[in-house]
Amino acid sequence: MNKKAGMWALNFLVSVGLIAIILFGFFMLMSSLRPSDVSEVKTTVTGINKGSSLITFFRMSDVLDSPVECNELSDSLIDFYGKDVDYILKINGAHKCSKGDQDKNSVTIDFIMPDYRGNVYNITLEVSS
Amino acid sequence: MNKLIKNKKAMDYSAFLVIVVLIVIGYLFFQLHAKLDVFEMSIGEQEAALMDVYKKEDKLLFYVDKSAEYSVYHAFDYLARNGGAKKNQLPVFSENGFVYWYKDNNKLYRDIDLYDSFRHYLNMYLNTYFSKYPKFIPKDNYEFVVRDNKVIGVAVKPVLLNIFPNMISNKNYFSVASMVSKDLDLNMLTGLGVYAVRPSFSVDAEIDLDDFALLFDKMDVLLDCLKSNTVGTCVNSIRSDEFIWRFIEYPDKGVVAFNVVFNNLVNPHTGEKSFVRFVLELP
Repeated sequence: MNKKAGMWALNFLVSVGLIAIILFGFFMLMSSLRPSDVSEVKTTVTGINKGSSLITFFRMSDVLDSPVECNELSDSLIDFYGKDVDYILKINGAHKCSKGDQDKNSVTIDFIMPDYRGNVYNITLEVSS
Repeated sequence: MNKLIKNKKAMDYSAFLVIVVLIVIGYLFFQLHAKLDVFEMSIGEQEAALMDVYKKEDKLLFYVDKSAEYSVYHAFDYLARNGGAKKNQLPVFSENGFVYWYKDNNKLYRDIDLYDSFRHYLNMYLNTYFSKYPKFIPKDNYEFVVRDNKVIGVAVKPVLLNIFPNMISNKNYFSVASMVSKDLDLNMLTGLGVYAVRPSFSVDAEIDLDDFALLFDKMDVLLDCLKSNTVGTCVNSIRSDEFIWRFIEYPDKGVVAFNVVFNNLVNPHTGEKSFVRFVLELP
């Protein structure tokens, strides 16, 4: 009886050890299958969607031709995002105009835009609300 | 315990169990590892890359639309200043570089194909804009339709955008489009694949080539008048709201140079009215 009980005890120990090894291996493998950071994917998708709408504002405005157009851009952004919107517009990396600070989560878009005289500019617009 | 370890049945069974489990784990690891090799990217990365390429398309089409909008007005102004003709199509008066509309009893303005000239200049300006874009946009790539204050450019060749799946890891959400020509070997492209965009455009423009036709009709009247009257008298006889007439006579050359302003056609980007320049040999 003692022998049998001892045998079962030994097998039980071996089985538990093996199950632990299997579970450890399983979770190690599964962890590499998971997305590295789901929130990062979500941020990317949100950024692409919002960024896509930002370029539309420049279809209506000739912001390169006149500093007055900054007001027009600002009005359009306020209409679209609400009065709490903050933004910064840079042309070729230099500050063109801005409103508020950029501490909040922001969406950025950068693109190339020509003017009537044939010059080409790098536009960067960062918007947060 | 010592007895238990020495129990052959128990040890055989345990050893057998360990060996079987190790074989099974090894097999499972091999199978899973083979599957993992297929998925080199994070979940969502491919989808995000596809969305990113739509963004690239937006940026490209935005640049093309802006270029087209500006090019239409550039082309119209250039066309007018060149008397409606293509460069070197008509003889030029050496004193001021204006083209002849009437020379050696020939009404040269009747040989002008305005739409063809306009398309020529529009294509020229579009090429200039496209050459300044950091990435490749095909040149001489449009069939144009000019109608009812609208200019439509239908792209013949597409722009190919490479779909890169590394945007999440690089945080490069809005990278400038990577564009290649249609003629490039597609096997050279990397990434998920290629997204083809036809950069066609439609521009509403306050230009009217029919105003030229009206001017040509007035030329017929003017030339008849000039056979028996002075330039001033004849110009006064054809004045209308559509045009502002300015002219300079070159009596020793038997030529009169005109600068006719289109009263209703204002370039919104310069605020200036378009004007046509040409010279007539006095009949």
